[in-house]
Amino acid sequence: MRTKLTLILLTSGMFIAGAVVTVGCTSNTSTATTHADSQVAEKSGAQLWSDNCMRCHNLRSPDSYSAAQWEVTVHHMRLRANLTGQEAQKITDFLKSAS
Amino acid sequence: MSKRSLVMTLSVGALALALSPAGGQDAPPVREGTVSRAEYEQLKKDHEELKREFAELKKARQAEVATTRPQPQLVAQPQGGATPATSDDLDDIDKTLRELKGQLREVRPGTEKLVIAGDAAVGFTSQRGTKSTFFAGIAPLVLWQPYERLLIEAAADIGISNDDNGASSTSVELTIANVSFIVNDNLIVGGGLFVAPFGAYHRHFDPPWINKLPDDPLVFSDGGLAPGSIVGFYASGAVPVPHGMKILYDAYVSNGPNLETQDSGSAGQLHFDNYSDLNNNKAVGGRIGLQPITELEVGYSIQYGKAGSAGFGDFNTVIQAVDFAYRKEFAQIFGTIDINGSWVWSDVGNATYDRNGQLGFGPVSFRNSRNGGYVLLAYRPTMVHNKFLRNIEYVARFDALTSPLGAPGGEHERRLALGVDYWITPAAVFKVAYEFDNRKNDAGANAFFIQLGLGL
Repeated sequence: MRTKLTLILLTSGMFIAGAVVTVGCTSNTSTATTHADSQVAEKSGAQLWSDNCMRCHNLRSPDSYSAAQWEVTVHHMRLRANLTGQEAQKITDFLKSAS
Repeated sequence: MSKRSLVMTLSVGALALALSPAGGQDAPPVREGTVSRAEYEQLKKDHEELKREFAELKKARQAEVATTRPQPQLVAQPQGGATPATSDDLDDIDKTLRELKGQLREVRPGTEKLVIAGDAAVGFTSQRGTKSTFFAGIAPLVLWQPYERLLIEAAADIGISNDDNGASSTSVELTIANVSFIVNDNLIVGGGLFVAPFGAYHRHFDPPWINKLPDDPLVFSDGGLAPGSIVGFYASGAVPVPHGMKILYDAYVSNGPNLETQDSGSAGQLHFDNYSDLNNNKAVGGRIGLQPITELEVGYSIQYGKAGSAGFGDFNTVIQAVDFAYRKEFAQIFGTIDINGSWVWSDVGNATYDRNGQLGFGPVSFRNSRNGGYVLLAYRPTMVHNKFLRNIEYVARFDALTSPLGAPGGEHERRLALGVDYWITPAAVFKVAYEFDNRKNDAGANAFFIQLGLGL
């Protein structure tokens, strides 16, 4: 019973933590988050593409897909690889410009 | 002059020569098979004359074409002294219109925002204790983004297989069918049939063009410990934190797993393809990950639920996993090191199987606490100049699965796989591997694999 309660609390905590941090980021009131966002902003789309995608697989040539297809593909990978919206946008912009 | 024209010219010349007075009975006798000097000179003269006439005709024809070609015309008579539009201006307008149409088509829902991707694998397996066989499979993935924030995904595994009686069959299994919606920069929500965000393997390393070995680790293969595709709802996202780090999170609620109670070889194991739940208790789970540096990701996953089987009751199940992935290029070793791994713990509460002995293996009571995992290490000399060497990757993987020896199908299995890959393109790899298998209860089933893995 105790284990069950702990697990439920842990899982609930993950949901709540995610929601709290999400709201914090959305409202842009957190200094720490703003600082972290600026670090992402400093990186180019090409750099973010390399950093995030190569952790799991080789990089495909940008001309593998059309600009519209890259938009869809990065949306899919945003879900699979837990990319932030800012990262996904910069990667998409880079791939669309290079496709 | 082309060869054809030359032949025609010579033919006409020859005919003219034959009909000319010089060709009459006063001409010197012609030796059979040879041409006299006079005949040759006449033929040459006729040939030169025909060439000149042909050149004159060609020149006249070109002049005629030039005079009949349409000139740029004024298509509108502007008022007020503005420059009149020409056909070149119309061409520019036409080009602009085409570009605008293209842009319009791109933003129109349901047309351009459709991608068919996926993966495929073909290969050969020779494993001790079973007959060697070729195999093939394809997994098309359809991605459709009808609106900017909405993504619809569908995927299926299409393959061939043999059942226990050796009969061949083909199979089509839906593995993904979900809809996800971007709430904001840090949150995506969705629902449907999706790949469980439990551990990193199924979501990141599973496809044959990413997996560096031809088979899956035991804990992530069929009959393993970790869930694959599940039905439910999920929330997913990432949050950047100071010092360049990033926190990743996934949470889900899904149909609970199904408990195997009838099979003498796998009683007590969990089936996750429980697409319509057997009870009202749902499984909840998720993963929280951290990227402390760009090259490294670590994660912890947990799933809790009640597993049931018709007429058998429900039992608590807890599955946990830790995972990591690291990849970095080192100049000192002229290449890239790729190392990733995961360990999974699965626990099903104490239960008695085959209570009345009718199934032939009971009654047997046990708590099915199992665990296992893998560590994969790969090296690819990405910084050497020779292209052939640069495309070779050397792979080693250790994996294990431990289940209670007294339980049906209980085993302590350890494997070591060694492989060499050749990367034909970034998404096409040819793999050769040998796997050493060691088991506590049964004889090990060493295996040799060849596989071509493709990302589509």
